[in-house]
Amino acid sequence: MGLASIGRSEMAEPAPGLGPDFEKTRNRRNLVVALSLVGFVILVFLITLAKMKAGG
Amino acid sequence: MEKQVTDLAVASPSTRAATAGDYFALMKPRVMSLVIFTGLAGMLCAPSRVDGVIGFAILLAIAAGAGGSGALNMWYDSDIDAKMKRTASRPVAAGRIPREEALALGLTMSILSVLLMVLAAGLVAAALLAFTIWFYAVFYTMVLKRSTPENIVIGGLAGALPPAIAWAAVTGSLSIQPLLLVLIIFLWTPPHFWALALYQRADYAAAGVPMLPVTHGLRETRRRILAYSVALAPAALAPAFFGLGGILYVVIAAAGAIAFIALAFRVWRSRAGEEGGSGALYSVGRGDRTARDLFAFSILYLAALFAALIAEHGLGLYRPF
Repeated sequence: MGLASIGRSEMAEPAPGLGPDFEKTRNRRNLVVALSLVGFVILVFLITLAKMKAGG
Repeated sequence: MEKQVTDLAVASPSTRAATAGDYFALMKPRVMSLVIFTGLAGMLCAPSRVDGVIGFAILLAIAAGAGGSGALNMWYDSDIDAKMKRTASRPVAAGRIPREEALALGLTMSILSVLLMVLAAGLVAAALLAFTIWFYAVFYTMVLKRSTPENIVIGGLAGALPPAIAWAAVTGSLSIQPLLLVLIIFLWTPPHFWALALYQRADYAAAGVPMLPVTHGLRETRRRILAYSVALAPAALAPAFFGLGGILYVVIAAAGAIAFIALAFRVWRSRAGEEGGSGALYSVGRGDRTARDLFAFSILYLAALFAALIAEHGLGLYRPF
């Protein structure tokens, strides 16, 4: 069995214990992280604007 | 006490995936709400004002710093937490979040909080915030907590600093007034935590944490609770003499101080802690109720003091004493 086929068989089968609930929870968690990052970027932008307005 | 336990000693991994709520719990949301509250008071009491966005960013940085250091605390203390009934369900101790993820989240949030504070308020406040995070996550968690019964006395400084950080963020410097607010929280911390430790002594002893009731006994702990409660009263009234607290504040501080000392006196005269405790926060046996009442009232008192400051300086209710 070549290396390529080993890689394919690992990708084809889901890791043990990763059911739909696990996937759902992980997706929700990833969404929270993504939204937090976007929020952080927006906040930094708004702080910059506020500083520019104040002349700081 | 040395930290002897490895990851394997922590509860076996939970079967369910960690939720966003578990990660939120990792940041000790109750501590975060306290620092936001006291930080807001410090910000509003300061003699200058900042833009709303900047003010929001300052409070967010303080909250994130507290959250990051809370995650670092749970990362390091997962062995202790797993042994105590009150903390065994915390996400790392219960195995829902791997230790390395708690460490990563704690470090990331701590660094981001300091960077955010630099951007929003400058170096003085950011340095103070960085010091506070280090003090709690490293000095208290890794050194004091496992080595001395004065752990929460000295370590209490970390929880006391947020009003000073917020003041420094707004004014760019420090003065006596914010340090008075720090002093209040600093003196409030020992009776608050020792009242809890009285009826959770068995838990602390089982985990090997040298809390005062474990090392010096119940009688000495009850005596020190009374001593710190008496010392807290003048400190709580002091802001009225430095232009921080008005009539509303004085009334709340004075009435609350009398009640606080009365409850501490009840604890001193009681046999609180001698039943061994149930491990619960509020549902305790008859003999431990005096300590439980003081613990609960101490939360109310601190909240009332800082709510009065917020009402006076944020809602225009300040009338000089």
